[in-house]
Amino acid sequence: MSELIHQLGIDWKLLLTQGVNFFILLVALTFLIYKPLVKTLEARRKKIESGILGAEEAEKRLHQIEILKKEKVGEAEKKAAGIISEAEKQGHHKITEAVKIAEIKANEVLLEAAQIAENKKQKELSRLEKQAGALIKEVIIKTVELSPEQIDEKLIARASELVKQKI
Amino acid sequence: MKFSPKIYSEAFIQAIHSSPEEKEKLTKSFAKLIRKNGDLSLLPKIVEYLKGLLVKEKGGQRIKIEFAREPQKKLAQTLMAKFKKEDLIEISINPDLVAGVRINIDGEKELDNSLIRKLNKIFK
Repeated sequence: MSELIHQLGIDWKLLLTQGVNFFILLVALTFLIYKPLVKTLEARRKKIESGILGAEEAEKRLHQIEILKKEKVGEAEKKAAGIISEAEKQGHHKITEAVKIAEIKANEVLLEAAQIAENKKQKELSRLEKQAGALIKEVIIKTVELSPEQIDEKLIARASELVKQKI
Repeated sequence: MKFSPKIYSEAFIQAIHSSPEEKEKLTKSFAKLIRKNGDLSLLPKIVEYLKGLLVKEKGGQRIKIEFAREPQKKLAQTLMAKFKKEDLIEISINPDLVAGVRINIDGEKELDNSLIRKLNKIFK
């Protein structure tokens, strides 16, 4: 065995030395590189993991928010539709009322106009009556003035009869 | 205006009654008083009042007769005959009456038998 190792050119001492060197290097690399690297990788993995979890959570929340949003929008739409419907009803009611009031006012205006027209007509008739009366009076006066004696005589005679009652 | 025509007239009549022999003197004094009081513008009214008071004293009435035109004598006489001797009759012509007569007694009673009144009554 020893001969074989000799023939293969292996030097025990050198091998041992190299083995020790390798071990030292291994220990050094383990403590200086491998462990910090593993630690860093572990931290990164955890970070990524938490990031993924966070992203999932965020996605879930986003989804929930989306649902909530849809619900709220739906509710708001319903409410808006209700408000619009109510407003339409009220508007319709108000329009109906306004139309009624307008109709009443229009009737009042018509009545008033009719009354004014009637008053004007009456005034005009009265004015015409007065004018006609004045004209007839004028005609009578002119006629009497042409030959007043007879009328004068009658009126004075009648006055003579009445005067005793007055005294 | 210190006094009304009525007060002037009544005072003058009372003065005349208290001393009838001094009628002329009283009349002059009365005229002076009116002038002094600055009431000369009231003179026509005072005279009117005096006329009325004097007629009343005699037991008569003041009769104002308005004709539309000069009346026929006979008609006028018939009308005059209706009044007493003591009455003071004042006749005037008022063409506005158109026809007929208007009689005012003592400024209180009125008999309006004129055509204009009748027409006015018809054509109110």
